[in-house]
Amino acid sequence: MLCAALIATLFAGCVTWVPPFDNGAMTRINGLTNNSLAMYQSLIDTNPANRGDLFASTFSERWSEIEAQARVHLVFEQSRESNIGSIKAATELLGFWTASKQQYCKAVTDLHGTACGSLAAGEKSAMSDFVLTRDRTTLEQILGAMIKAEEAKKLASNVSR
Amino acid sequence: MAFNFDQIFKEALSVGIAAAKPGGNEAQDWMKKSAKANEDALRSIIQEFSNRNISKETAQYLFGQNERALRAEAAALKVIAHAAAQAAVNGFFEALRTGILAALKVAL
Repeated sequence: MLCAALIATLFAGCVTWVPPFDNGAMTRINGLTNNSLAMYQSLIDTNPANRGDLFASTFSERWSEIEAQARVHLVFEQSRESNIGSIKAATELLGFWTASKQQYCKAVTDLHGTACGSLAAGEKSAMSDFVLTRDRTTLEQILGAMIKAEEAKKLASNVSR
Repeated sequence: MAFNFDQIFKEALSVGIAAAKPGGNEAQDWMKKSAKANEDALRSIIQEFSNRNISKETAQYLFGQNERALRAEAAALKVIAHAAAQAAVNGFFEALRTGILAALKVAL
């Protein structure tokens, strides 16, 4: 009787405070990292005088694609059990991306353009070198946090049955 | 500078450290390191605003984005701590289970 109870206790299972490492999640984070940082490089390499209008025209499609990627990633993270930390980090990335769009739209001078609508204000400093490099560093911090969080799950996965 | 950033930063840090106390020394150390790592960024935003290179709205926007990074890093730290604890607890029980089952086999 005692033996049966002991064995039942021993096989009760492992604790699960984080989900197992997911290669799909890491692939999505890698994609977001590559695409978003390449986007920033393109913006920084652009003449500051033209940034706002190019953001609303040439770059807007790529920007929206990356936003969609960030939303897809968040949905997948939300579907994983015990995954609050990564959901939080993915939410911050999406928040960063949508807030950046609103900020950069202020630099648009073509007030009749469609990509930024009423946000266009012709404020050149809204997309200055300082703002873009500051934002790029912040983006790197958020993406780095997401990578570290997913990598940490390997540690937990090594022991979990 | 129109206001004393150092004083504001010092006060904010002491509030953060006090709030991190229930999390023990590690949480407090993280708060200190993280705040220090972001100090230069925050100072540069204030400097740009003071020099009128960016608007008040842009400065607020940059502070907000910086906050997002801190929150993402705190969330990652929590995952890392939970993963390490999970590995430790499950590793302990796995070893215990193996040992007891081996002993039971011999005993029965």
